[in-house]
Amino acid sequence: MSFQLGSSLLDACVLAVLAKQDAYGYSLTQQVREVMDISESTLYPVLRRLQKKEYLTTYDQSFQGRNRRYYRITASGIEKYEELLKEWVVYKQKIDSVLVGGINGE
Amino acid sequence: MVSKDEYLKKLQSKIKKLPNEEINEAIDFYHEYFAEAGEENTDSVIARLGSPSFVASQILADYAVKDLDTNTSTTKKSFSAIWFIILAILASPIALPLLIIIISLVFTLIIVCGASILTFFVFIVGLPVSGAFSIIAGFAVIVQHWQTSIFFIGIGLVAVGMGMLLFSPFANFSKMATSSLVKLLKKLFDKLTYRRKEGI
Repeated sequence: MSFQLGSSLLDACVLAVLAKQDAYGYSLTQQVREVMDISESTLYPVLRRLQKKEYLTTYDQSFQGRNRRYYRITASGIEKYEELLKEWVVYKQKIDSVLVGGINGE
Repeated sequence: MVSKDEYLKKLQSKIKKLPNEEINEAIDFYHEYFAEAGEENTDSVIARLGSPSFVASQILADYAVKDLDTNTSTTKKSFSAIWFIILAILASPIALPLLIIIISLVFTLIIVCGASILTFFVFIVGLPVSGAFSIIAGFAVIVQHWQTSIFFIGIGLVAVGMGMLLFSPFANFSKMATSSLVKLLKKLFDKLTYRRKEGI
């Protein structure tokens, strides 16, 4: 992809995925990777940072004799997600008005 | 091909400067990650994650900034953040000549930042100290010529007062200077590793 992703956009995507349902590290990474071209090692630092900011919490669940650490979004995480979503909509409209409108709407 | 355990061991050695809790979290995460992908996919997981150095450099760089963003950030913490950024750059797989340029650039930035903070520090510590001397001198001549005495004591009090007033803006300035330095370095680091990823 030619567009570089900012870290806030990545934060927003992770929060968005978790707002729908809890997920463990591997599945979360795969879900985000479906929509974004990122290296897989980018996700762990993001998760850790969001967790430190208390937007996410974790809990452990055993699965086939080993441990799965699930990430769950917190109330302040949802707040942050909504805030980022609002900013994104404004940003998207501005870019669209140039990229799309600039060519078609003379 | 490297085994999963070797990979994790290498990763651990690259991030050993972090607090224990951070090391354990990261290793647990990647341990689980390999397990989820399945034993037979170890090679492809390693290929997708990148080298242990690359994974480590991302953890270190993000830790540096995260550590800084907490409200209790102090100048001391900022310096440790700078240290982590340097470690991150060292851990990342960049060509050596480029690495040397980057490191000298980073050190130059740190020195410029440090020198300006030091200058202010000397100035601000110097003010109350010279003020105190002036006050002492003032008292020393109080019996000979009280007007001179008042003059010196007054100058001394002004200097002490100015030093005290300037102290908290100075503390803020040094905090700001170091934290923006760290953010700048992180940006530089992101650019570098990003370009590398693209430029394969």
